[in-house]
Amino acid sequence: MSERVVGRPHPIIDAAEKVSGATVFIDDLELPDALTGMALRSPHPHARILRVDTSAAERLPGVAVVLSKNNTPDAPFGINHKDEAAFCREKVRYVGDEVAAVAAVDEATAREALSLIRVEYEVLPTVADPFAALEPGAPLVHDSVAGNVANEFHIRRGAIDEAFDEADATFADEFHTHLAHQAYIEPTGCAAQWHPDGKISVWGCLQSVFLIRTFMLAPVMGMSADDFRVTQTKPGGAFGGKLDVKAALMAAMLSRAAEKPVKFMMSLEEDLIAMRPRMPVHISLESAWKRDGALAGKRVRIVAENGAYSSLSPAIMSSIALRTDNLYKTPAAEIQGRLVYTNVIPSGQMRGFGNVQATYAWESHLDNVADGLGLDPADLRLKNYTEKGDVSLHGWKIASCAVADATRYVVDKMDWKARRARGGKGRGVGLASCIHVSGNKGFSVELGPDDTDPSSGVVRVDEEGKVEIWSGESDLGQGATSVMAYIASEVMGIPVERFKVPPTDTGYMPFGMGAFASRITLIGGNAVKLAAEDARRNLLDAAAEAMEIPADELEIAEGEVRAKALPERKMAVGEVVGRAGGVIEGEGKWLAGGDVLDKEKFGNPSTTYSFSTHGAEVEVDMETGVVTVLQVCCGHDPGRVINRLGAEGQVEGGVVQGMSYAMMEGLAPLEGRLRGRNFHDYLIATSMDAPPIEHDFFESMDPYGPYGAKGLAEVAINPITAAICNAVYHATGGARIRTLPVTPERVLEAIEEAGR
Amino acid sequence: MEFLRATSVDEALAAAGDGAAFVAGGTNLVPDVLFGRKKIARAVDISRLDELRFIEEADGKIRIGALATVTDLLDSGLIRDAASPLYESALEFAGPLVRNRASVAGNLMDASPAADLAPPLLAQDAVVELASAEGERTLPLSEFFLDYRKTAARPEELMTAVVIDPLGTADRCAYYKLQLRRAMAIAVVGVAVILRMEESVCAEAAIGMGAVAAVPYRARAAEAHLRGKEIGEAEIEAAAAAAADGARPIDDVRASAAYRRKMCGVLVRRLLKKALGMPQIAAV
Ligand SMILES: Cc1cc2nc3c(=O)[nH]c(=O)nc-3n(C[C@H](O)[C@H](O)[C@H](O)COP(=O)(O)OP(=O)(O)OC[C@H]3O[C@@H](n4cnc5c(N)ncnc54)[C@H](O)[C@@H]3O)c2cc1C
Repeated sequence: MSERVVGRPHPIIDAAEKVSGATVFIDDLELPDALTGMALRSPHPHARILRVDTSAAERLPGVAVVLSKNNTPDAPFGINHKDEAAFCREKVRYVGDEVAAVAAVDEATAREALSLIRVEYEVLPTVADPFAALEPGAPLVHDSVAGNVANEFHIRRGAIDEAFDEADATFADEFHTHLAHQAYIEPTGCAAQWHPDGKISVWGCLQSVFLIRTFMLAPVMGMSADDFRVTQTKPGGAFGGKLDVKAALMAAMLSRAAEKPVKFMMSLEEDLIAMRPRMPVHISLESAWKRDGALAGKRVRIVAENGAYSSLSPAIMSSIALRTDNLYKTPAAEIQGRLVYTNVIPSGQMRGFGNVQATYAWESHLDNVADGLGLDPADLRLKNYTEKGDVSLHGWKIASCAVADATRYVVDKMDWKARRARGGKGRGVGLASCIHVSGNKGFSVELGPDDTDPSSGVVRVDEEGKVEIWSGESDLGQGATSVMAYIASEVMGIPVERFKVPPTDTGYMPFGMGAFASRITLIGGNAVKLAAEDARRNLLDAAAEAMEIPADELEIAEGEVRAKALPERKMAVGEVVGRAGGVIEGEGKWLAGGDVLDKEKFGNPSTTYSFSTHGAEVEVDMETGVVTVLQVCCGHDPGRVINRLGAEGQVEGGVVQGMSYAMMEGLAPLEGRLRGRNFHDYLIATSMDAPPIEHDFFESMDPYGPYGAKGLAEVAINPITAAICNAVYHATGGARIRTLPVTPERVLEAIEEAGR
Repeated sequence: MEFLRATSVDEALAAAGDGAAFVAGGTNLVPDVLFGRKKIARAVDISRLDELRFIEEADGKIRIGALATVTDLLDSGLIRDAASPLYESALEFAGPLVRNRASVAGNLMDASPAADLAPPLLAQDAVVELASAEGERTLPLSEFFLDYRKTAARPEELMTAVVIDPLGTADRCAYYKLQLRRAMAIAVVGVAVILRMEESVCAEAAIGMGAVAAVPYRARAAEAHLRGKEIGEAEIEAAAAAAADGARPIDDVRASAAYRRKMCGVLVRRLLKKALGMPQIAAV
């Protein structure tokens, strides 16, 4: 590894701008004469709309437009099911559902206008619990969807019945996860500006500026995708929550109707009750084992809570159902999933895309299995892990894999064997592992233009020797643009300080799918690497002409083109560009590997896969159930680290965010109404709660990744919940947490149950 | 809403009543007004009345001015040495930003069942000083909290100080706040225990309870099992059971009533043992 830039620690490239307060977030964006947009939201979990009367609101001075079902077309949209409308039509289906929206001269007027809208509701019985929703005769969330089942599947692979019939031991467990928000610090908002030529500009913190046009804006507004120019504003956090952003639609529709710019900023409360929080799921597991600890087969049954609308939920359920089968050599599996509509906030994707929930359940189950078989939980895993070269029973092709190294590291660092031998006295250790995709081909079909999962990049060098990278992939604070700059700097021999990566903008940048599925480092990184290589070639060709030296006798270092044999013969990159006419560009396109899964969900969804193992040591107060995480130790396989500082930030952030989800977060719905409606009742971990984190990277040098890199964002969060639960199990001598979050009260109940 | 910044206590008192509310740190009042939980006609800002911001020892008493902040409590050697449960409650209170603004009087006047300063102040037999245009009066804190967010202070009354007896070498005490994260969290249960020992006999017992009833209160029935006794396992068990029995907690987003009740017993038992230097089952 002879790289000068890649693999070393660098600050993210816009760090100075951010810490000095210069960054313009969506709330800071000023558009002249912008109106304030606001939504009227349903107060009921389930009600029929008899009448919406907006006349008084329309008459209020200062109100530009009021939109509702009365004056907008019936244009249902949705990524998997077209089950959602811009404004509720016959029914409202959750508390927070958009019924109407206004644009007015200021916030006070907009608020008053909302209070003047009269909606007559016929309140309907609420169906909030997914199991109740599945009962015959349950109220229907969508009148056309019988049984409230949004999606279901049943897959059998391998000799599953034999696996159970011939097993030496079988185990069964059930796990339940909760509704948790992405809890980014920046509430959601978008701005839109209608132009007299009928086109609309949209700004916002968005995970995919390109795709929001095609799955939401264009179809609902009856326009074509390129009628919209969508520009990303600097992110105040997203974590999956800003892929499906209805605020963009609200702003664009209001702006078109008012023929003026509109800013639609949501309050924190609106964000908590009306975005797309992490899906709650109920997982039943059965597994069959050989005496020596070899996994023979598993049966999984899932009931996933879809909430009122589907968004990406079918894909999330699929991820929950299949993901963990590929981490271990699994000879046979039977998987059933049902996604259930309820009158609760629509659930969605958050960092992990279902894998946090799936990993919590399966990795908790594994420790119960280890206990039952009398094996060490680390040894049980090491015996069954997948390896490089494997093709899993679902067809996943493992191109690189260092999970076993990661686990051995955790075992070693935590003094695992000695600590396991103690345990049971209020102190214990646990670990868990995960596998994650780096991109997912399926999304390309559901969300993108075709099945290629493409990314493209342009690298432009100007006459001052400065370089801009244009990529369609967005930075949500994860450091994507920094990774691109470091890769291009490495390729081009131009110092990182000369690079700029402007926010994604559909107006002039090449296409990219956006930030999800841990895809950007691999897919966007490869595209930018190819673009940088192209730009480097073009630079050398131009320099060859200017310096009258053949290109293959030149090299670029420290921003200068030099003759390899005669280093004093050199020319600054800027001068080369100047002489060549003022700009030199390179282009790169990269199409992801893997397949779109078939109807049976068979195939290789991603180019390659990342892995991690998290270990936790906890102290449990056996009388109060209070759990303190004393330390976390983890190993990650991101293929190759591009930016060490950024990678460390991902790991530390992932661990603390995952711990927070595991231990204290929750929107706590009660009959469809959320109780966590502010950050006073919705707790997220503070710096006081963050444990010391020791970690390292196990670089498997992926054959497809740029410099061997693959995704890291999601493997950094997936296993920590199970690691903590397994440590609690060990510390308490058998208290198994089957329902999240791990509150003191739950822990105490589990301790009492284990004692019985 | 009218806004008035008082430059003297008299001015503040003259502006009181008729839907007016005093503003100290504003950490309760501002969000209450902002989110429509409270409607007030006039905000009387008392935050600049430096004469109400002090912590002093006089005539064998500790007087804490109404505007003393939670940070002031933490900065006071007097509080640390002679009111240690109060000091510990201040340590667990919110985070530094809120502690810098939050006043002692505001915490008591807000009368949240979970007000963190209430259990230790109750246990230390605090007396509050109230003033109005009509004159001044004092009231034991144990008679101050009447019902959920209802106090014995009249709307026009200003709390000027809180007075406690300093703890001495004969006092054994302990405090615990059970919370769902390590900072910025509302108590699930808060307990303060103070035992005045004469040789091996407990001359006085005081147990302040928070977040387990409509108001913070003294667990009198539990105290009765301790007062005048040589405290052993039996007394501690009886007191713990009485504390659990006397609690009137509710179910909310943080915990169930049943868990809170159980924790009253667990924490009272544990804090009594801790105060007396007896081995506890698990460290608090
Ligand atoms: C983020 C956050 C975290 C918090 N965490 C905690 C916590 O951990 N523990 C806890 O106990 N509380 C907590 N609180 C609540 C609050 O900070 C405390 O209750 C604080 O002590 C209130 O004091 P204040 O000076 O801000 O009161 P204010 O908000 O100014 O006033 C509160 C009430 O008391 C009245 N009042 C104030 N001073 C007087 C006076 N001298 N005489 C008569 N009436 C008066 C006001 O009119 C108002 O009704 C938190 C609040 C916030 C916003």
